[in-house]
Amino acid sequence: MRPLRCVVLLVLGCTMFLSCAGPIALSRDFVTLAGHSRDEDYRAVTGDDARVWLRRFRDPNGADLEFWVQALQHDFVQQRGYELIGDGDVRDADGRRGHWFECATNVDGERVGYLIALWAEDGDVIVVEFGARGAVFDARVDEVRRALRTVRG
Amino acid sequence: MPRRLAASFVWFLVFVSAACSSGAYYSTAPKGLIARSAAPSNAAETASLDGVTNGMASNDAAGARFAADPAMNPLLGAFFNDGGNGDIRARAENLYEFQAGQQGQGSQQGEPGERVARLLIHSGTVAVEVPQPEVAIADLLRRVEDWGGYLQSRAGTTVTLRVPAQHFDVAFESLRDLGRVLSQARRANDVTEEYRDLEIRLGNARKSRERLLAILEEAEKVEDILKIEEQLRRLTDEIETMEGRRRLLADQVALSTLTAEFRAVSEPPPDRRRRRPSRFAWINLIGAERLMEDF
Repeated sequence: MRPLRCVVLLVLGCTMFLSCAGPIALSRDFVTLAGHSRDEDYRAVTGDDARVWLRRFRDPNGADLEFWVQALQHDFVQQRGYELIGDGDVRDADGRRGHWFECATNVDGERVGYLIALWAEDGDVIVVEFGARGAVFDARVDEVRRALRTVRG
Repeated sequence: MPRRLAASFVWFLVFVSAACSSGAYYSTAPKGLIARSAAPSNAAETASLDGVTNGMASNDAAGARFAADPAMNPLLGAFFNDGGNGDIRARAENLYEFQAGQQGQGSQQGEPGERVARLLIHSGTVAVEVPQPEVAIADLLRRVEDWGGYLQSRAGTTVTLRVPAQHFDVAFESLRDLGRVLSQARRANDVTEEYRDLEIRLGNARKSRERLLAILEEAEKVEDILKIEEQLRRLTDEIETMEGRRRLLADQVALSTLTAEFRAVSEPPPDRRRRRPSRFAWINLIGAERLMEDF
């Protein structure tokens, strides 16, 4: 009985730990904003105002990843005039395939770098956005791109 | 009578095979070569050269003057440096006398068994975005001069610099600090083996040339003189080619090459409002503007 109790406690402990951990593992520079630690709406920010925003949207259409990649690229580039720097595939912590875009645009007269990654599965669209002004974005984009691999669905 | 003849012939064969296996057919290398080639990896004894000599005659047949060192008589046709184990391929290792750092890398006398500093040719390219490329270039050139380098070429806002190897890392990092790095690459090409091999081959070639000059002085037949002069011309060409290559390597090792491309900071694109919203509601909730304004 004792070993079984230990196992149950261990499993409960792990579950609690995982639920307390954010949906993405960012560096210590990022602080999770109070009230925005849930998987559906997670926000974190650094001292130099680099921002990460993770959200989960419900998609009643049930479109696949390729559809959303095309839709986003059309919207960002053709509609909003973003400069597309690069894009590529990415896998989350569970090995699910997603896609990322890196863009540049101008917000309030300032150059802003913008990285977005998305996953689409079972009617859910998970979106991770990272944005910062100029040099701050350049300094942090690689670390955030690596952190995309820790996203939990 | 036939029996005696046969016995004599048998004794002759025994004598020849014994002489060949003992190595007495070829004299050993002079003391100096053996001393220099006494590396732990080389055998000290003189091995039989059967099958390796390509039909070379014995030193005695070529003249007693060069009997002590087979490598000193290039007229024999096969020129090799017997470091003790008879292996022609091993001559580079047999004569290991390597000086690194003749041009500023730090001098180390290579002794058999010791580690020698590697000779590396460093090169790098950096493209960096700066507010004013001309100002950045002028500033960079001043620093390069302080380091003892110079401007090799310039095309527009792309400059190619030669920087002393000991300052390459600093120069490379200082370029990255000038502005936003658009691209960068650096490379280190190890030419230690090539340089060492050149040194050895040059030494051997020079020795051969000296011997040839000595032979030329004593040659009497026109045919011999012409043959020697042809060999001398060939050797001289080879020496000059190798010296040129060595100078080039030394120069490239001493002075690294750094190419810097400067680009002016581009104006940020004007604000562009979406022409029409997406028909998918969630797409309208994301984007750089939302992230920076509604976060």
